[in-house]
Amino acid sequence: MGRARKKAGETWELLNPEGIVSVEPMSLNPHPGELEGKKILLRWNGKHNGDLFLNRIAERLLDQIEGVRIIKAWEKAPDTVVAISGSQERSFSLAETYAAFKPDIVIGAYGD
Amino acid sequence: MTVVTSEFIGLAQDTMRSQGVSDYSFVVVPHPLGMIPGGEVRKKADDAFPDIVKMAGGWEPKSGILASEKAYPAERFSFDGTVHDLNRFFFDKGWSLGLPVEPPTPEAVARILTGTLLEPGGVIGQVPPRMGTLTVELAAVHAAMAGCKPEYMPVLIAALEAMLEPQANWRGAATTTGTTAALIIVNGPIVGKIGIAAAQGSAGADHHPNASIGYAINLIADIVGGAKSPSPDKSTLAAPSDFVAWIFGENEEALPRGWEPFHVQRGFAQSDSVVTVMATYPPVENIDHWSVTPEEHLRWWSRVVSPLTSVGGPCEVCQMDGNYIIGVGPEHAQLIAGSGWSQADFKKAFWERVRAPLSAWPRGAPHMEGVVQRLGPVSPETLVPITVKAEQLFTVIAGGAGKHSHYFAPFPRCLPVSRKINASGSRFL
Repeated sequence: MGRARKKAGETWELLNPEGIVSVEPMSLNPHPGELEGKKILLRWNGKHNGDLFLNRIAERLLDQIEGVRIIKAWEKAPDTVVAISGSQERSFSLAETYAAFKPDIVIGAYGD
Repeated sequence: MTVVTSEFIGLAQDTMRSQGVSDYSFVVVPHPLGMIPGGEVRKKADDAFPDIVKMAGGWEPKSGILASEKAYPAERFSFDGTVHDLNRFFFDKGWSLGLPVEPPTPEAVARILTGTLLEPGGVIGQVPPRMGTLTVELAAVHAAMAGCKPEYMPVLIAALEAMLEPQANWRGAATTTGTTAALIIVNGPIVGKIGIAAAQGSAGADHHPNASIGYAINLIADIVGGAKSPSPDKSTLAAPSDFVAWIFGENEEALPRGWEPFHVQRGFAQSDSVVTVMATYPPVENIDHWSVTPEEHLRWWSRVVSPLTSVGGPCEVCQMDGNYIIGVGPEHAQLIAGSGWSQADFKKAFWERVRAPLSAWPRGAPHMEGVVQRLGPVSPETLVPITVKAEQLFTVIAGGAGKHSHYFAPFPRCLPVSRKINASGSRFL
């Protein structure tokens, strides 16, 4: 490319290589306010100890929040224990599986 | 809401933004959670519990509108300075990998665009994890930066299209803690036509098409896709394949008689030009200089490769549903075929020999049921194969002289994706 050999200090006209991000905004539901009497779904993605962490959270919730109900998704829907959904379609499918339990809120635990 | 460890909050936030969510409820706990005693996990849960209750109950999303701009034409701007200054500016902006780039001038980009009949404003796809919009023009910008010639564009575009198919799982491979890279295998007449190296040392340096196309792909992944280390690209160590993707042509001239080239195994005609892409872990090399029979050679394979090479078994059972690519060196291929073994014989023997006992995986692995679903009743002594069937293995004759073969294992849920090339690229076939 000839321009690379030109003298120092010239003015370059260049194209920005970054490109733009154009995604449809997605809105989320507000959380339920109080947890008393609510149905809480716990989601583990299969990473080591995530189930232990959520089991402890379940114990504390049942002990301290009046009338709370817990669904451990990895027990009720073992097929949803995936660290990587692999596609948006699979992610939507997982969300539909969780929605079928009609939880008031879903708590997921990730990380290594 | 989501509980995430401190090392992964950046990736989690980036992921949400890339899906159009401007605000999300996270609770952050100190890293790590995995591979620590249960008592420590319990303490981390207890410490986080008040925040979890507060966030689960009372959080409300802040409204936020994500900006939307035009993807084409790409923004033009002026810069004063030397090529050295320009490279420094690009690196500081996050527009390079740390290696020098050619300046993407309008003239250079226009020259690259002569290599494709596609409209420059056409959208190839959204590149994860950032979900940057990749137009044909933007691909040409990166091809120019990488030093590609115009005639490389059909291969580059076909590879990018393949990588953006959902089954290629680019997002997962780009953000994992594992060491992954795009493996790109080119077959057919295009190999000779544009001079893609397909024999000695073909996946390494000194081959202009391989080097510049592989560089362009990684520039696009890093800059348009935003897969930057240390976040959202969480690779623990990473590798030089983050600079230049693995790319080589199959050594079709060294195919043993009766063996099918890779693209024919993938369902294409031998006369087709095809690009196949798969996100893989670093290859495992088989350095067998000694075997004189296929049986001995397979014994060697059974010791250098294991299903655990790519997690597999009950820890990542989806790996049993994937495809694995065995880059058979030409001399190993002649050893195998010279004894009368067909390609199918080799795949079957490989599949039967490369196994690990179920007891090799942890007892608490999350997908034991998945193993039973695929293999039937099991015991700790059951020898678990890499895949459910031998037919899930592919062979490609890779490289030149020498007694070396290479085993490419996929990142979980990353399947190989192939694209046939025409003069335009594969877009309008």
